[in-house]
Amino acid sequence: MRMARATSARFLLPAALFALLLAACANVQKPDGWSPPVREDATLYASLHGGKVSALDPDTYEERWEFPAEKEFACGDGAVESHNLDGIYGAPAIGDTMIYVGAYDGSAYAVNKDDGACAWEFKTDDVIVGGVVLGDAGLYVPSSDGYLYLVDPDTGLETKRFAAGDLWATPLLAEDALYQPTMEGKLWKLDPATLDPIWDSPFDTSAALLTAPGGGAKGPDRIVVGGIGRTLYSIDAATGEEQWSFKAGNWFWGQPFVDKTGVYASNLDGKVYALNPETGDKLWDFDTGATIRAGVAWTGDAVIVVNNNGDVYSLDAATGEPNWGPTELDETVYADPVAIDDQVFIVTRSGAVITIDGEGRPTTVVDG
Amino acid sequence: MTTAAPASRRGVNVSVIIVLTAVIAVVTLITLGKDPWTILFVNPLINALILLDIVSFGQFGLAIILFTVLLRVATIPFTIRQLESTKAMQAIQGESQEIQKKYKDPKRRQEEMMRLYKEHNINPLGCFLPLVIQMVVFMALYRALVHLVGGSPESLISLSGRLYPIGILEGQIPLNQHFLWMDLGHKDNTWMLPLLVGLSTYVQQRLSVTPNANAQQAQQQQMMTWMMPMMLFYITLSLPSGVGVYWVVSNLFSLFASYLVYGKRILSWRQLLPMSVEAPPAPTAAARREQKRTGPIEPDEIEQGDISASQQEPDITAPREARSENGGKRRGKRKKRR
Repeated sequence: MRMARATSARFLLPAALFALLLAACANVQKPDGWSPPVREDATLYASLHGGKVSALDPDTYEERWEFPAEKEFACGDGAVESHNLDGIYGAPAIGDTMIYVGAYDGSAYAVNKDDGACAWEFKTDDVIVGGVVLGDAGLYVPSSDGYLYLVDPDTGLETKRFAAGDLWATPLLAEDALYQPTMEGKLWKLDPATLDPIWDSPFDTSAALLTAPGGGAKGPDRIVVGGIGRTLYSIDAATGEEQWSFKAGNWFWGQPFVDKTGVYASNLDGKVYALNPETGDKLWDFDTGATIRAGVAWTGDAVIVVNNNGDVYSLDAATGEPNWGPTELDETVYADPVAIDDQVFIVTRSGAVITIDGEGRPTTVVDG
Repeated sequence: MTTAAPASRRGVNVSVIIVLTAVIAVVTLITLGKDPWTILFVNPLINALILLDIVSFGQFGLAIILFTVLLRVATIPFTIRQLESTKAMQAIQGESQEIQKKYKDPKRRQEEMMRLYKEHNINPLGCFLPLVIQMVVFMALYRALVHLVGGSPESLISLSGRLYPIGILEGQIPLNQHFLWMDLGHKDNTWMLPLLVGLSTYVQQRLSVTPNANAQQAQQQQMMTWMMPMMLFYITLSLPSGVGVYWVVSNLFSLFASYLVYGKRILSWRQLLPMSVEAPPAPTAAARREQKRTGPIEPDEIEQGDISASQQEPDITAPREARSENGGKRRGKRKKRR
């Protein structure tokens, strides 16, 4: 009898493996992306479904087109090919006639604003997590293959490349420079036209830098970045020297907002931190109670923050006291909130678009 | 005057302390609203793998191999005990069947079986622990890999809450998930790894399987030697490649352990043939008398080729005639009838 039990015990392992397989299907995190919405005068662009971007009417929220409309499509005069963009993490860059997106399949796409047709595709050798940025010199494409590419926005042809490292963060394009953090913990200051390094050596830290640099586009005095080392760094934009650093409870991933009154940054520990921009001393912090992937939005006198559970707060920038919130969306949110006029736009993981008014009242304008 | 506690009692005491500590830890974590599985198994494994990644010069595939080897070395006493236990149980199979036939009352039958096990110093549950360890590690490793090389930025969000706040560990993220032809965070679309998993499991099972006198059990055994590799092949098709790497290395290690216990027998490639394992005959009465006279069978004795044991467990790699001579009367008689 015992022997039979021992023999039947051999069935335990396969049974457990099958259970594991079933559990596995439910637990793998697919790369869906967390692109924040962008509004241009007559259109709201948002990635509602993994690996797709939609053009919506900003008044009625009706979808004008979705790219890609089908799995198989051609870009420009190219052949029809099967594509799976996987996920779009950065905000679309808006041009005159086209919008540009970087996708997790490793390609940057130019999409016609009128009909959502693909104009060209620029392939890199690894995934694209950071957003693409459009400047006077061209389209900047950060790839995980180790290069920052400068691409002609009309043709999709590479004009320059710089071996910066594994790139996950969206670069910051300022008036005179482009700032690009890397997963090797470096921050490069590059000439936007030539991609030549400006600092003698990049700012270097031991852990990966995940956040898009904060500092503003108008010749910032300081660049603020953070990442896996749980530390937020303020770096002198002129010299690349560290001014101060601030240690938090977990990783920094959302882009910090830098203002003369403070540096505002969300952290995966669930808190929003306001720091003195000159010294890095903490002015206040606010605990939302759940992990925050998204960056903060700035309304002029308030900081908008949304945690992964979909709890949204408006915090007084001076004191950190909530103006309103939590507004509970009951949806998972990884995408940055975007403040447009007097509304906050939030895209959820399920693909819903929710607007929140100045009183914290939510309206679902696109169902997930 | 105090006397030292017997070694076995000390072993039991240590086991009781370990089990009690584990139960207290689990209850405490549940009370605090924490997930004990994650905190006690998955998170330590995640951080240990990152540490091994540092030792492996940032090659996460090597880190998984190193982890597997270290784990198997640490648990080799259990593995060998399992193999010896299986082998020893095989040796008393004739007597065990006799007891099952002789005693119809389940309680009495169980008592007699226990007496038999005790007589031969066999722990019938000896084969469970390595299986349990394998299962726990396999599941924890799968969960760890989903976070470590999950293949998406989303998986890094969940990793952030599991990484210990140690600079050297944080500096390793993200891990290099490319190893040989594989992406350790994704399934292997070339099918090479699933095939290696299936093949190594088959070889490992075939070479460590022991002959079984009970036709039903022999059939079950035969089925398992096919079913397990096929299931693992199928499962590995859908799991991150890192789990498959663990399984292949683990199988190679099991082969090594089998060699330690079974010796040269496992080197016989005839054993790999699907129908090569035959049911041996029940021991003869003379053999049983001899066994009783010489005392209980120790695994070491079996390994060294004890006469009585060899009568019950013929060398299946030997020629059929030779096995018949060792094997007992039934086969001899059948031969005569022919």
